[in-house]
Amino acid sequence: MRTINKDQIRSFKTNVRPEHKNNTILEIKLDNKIFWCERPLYNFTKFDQSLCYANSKDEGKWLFNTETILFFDQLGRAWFQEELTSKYLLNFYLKNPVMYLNFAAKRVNDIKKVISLMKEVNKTVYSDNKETIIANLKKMKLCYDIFYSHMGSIFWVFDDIVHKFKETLLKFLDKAEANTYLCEFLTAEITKEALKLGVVEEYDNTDRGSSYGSDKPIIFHREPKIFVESKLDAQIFSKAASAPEEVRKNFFALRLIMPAALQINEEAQYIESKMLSGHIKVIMKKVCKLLNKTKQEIDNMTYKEVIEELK
Amino acid sequence: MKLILKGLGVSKGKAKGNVKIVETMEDHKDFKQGDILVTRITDPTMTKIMGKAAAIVCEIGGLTSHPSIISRELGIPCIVSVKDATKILKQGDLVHVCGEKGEIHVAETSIFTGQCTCPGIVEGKIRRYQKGKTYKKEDIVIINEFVTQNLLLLRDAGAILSSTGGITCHAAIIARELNIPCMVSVKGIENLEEGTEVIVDTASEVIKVK
Repeated sequence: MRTINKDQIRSFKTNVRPEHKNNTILEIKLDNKIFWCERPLYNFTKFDQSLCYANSKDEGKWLFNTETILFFDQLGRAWFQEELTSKYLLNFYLKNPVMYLNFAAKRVNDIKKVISLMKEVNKTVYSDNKETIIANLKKMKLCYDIFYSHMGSIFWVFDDIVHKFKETLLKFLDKAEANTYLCEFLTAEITKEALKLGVVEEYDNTDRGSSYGSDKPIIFHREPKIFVESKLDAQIFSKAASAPEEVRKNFFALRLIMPAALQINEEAQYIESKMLSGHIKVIMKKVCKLLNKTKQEIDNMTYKEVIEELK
Repeated sequence: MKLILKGLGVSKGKAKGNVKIVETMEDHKDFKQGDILVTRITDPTMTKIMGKAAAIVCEIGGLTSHPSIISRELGIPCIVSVKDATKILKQGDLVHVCGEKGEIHVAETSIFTGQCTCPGIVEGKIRRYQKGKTYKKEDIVIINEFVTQNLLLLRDAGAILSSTGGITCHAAIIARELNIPCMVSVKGIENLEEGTEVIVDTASEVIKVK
């Protein structure tokens, strides 16, 4: 935790999300480095900070082979170094669309591991046996480590990618054609599965802790499509071919990454709010009971402290 | 009424109706009695819909071309040589066609705009979302709380409009998945009264009050 002075914070609005969808971004300069807080309304407890964010700092290493810093302030808000912000990542992926595909391929494998681990947890999630509860909590920690290892690419930059794609399409297509084409890609495999199972309800969007979502430990999945075809591709590609060079470059980069970004983001939202949340809620109720502590008391401990006390 | 286009009046008379732009045979299916036929140039395959039209507007043609001869036979107004008529006029526009002056006037309408999340053109009546109520194809449903659980009850609605939401929000993606024409962040839409007749063209991000 790092205490920051609120007078040093600069606040601005992003136009990629509507007002009520948390569109304020905070910026601060510390030790000659720029940090952004992309979701200032999300306050993470000490427990959630240690459970969910342990691997997030490694995203910079994976993308640019440089260490990146993230920290939580006194209000539990997450601050990421400039290289992992939506603005920086958008420009990076526009120049390096193949890097996004590398990430997407890794993500597909990461999620397979998460689902497999959760299936193991699911078999004994209601067990009251102490050893089983500890084992399940440790497996869930592994799930969170893998799941949140690319916060910037999955969550921060996603709205910007879709917004930039629409903006680019409007530079060489009329509004109706641009929207029709964009909507071809506003679709995700996991949404089809969620609709089939009837598990699409949303939760309060100002709380994004580990247990903000469902309390039913369910698992469902359908692998995202990284390459999404459209019947309109030929006609749009032919129009893009005569667009100015900068527009054309952005179009082809975004055409590659936007459909995948949407699939990956939707997948993340469902895994986070239905599956991870459903399992951790059941397990943490059992942890509270074992340690004879309230949820608030557990929220003020780190994951390591909880495991130590359980032993 | 606002004058927006001029051409060569080739058949007398005045008519009022909604624009129906016809570009392919596929467009013939939706052509209704009393629509204003707007096309590049008519040909004999259009005879059936020309019989239903209240007036005909063509981008090219002269006094002796196909639309001119047929419209005079049918006794309906016709204007030809109206440059870019299929681009400037929009599906569903309420227009007045004056065959004598060769003028097309568009009715001033209230227009709302927002962001498209699922494309489609729908005509219908404004309905406010009520929990538990079922909706039909002719219902254009305004929903304030744009969240996924509310959308499941709107599977059969004609279109969904919301003053909130963004193109990447969950509910927008569900609407797209259910293939319900949808627009979000539509400013001022909450002022529309229940039962107001509207034409919604989500891809063009336009809602017109008829």
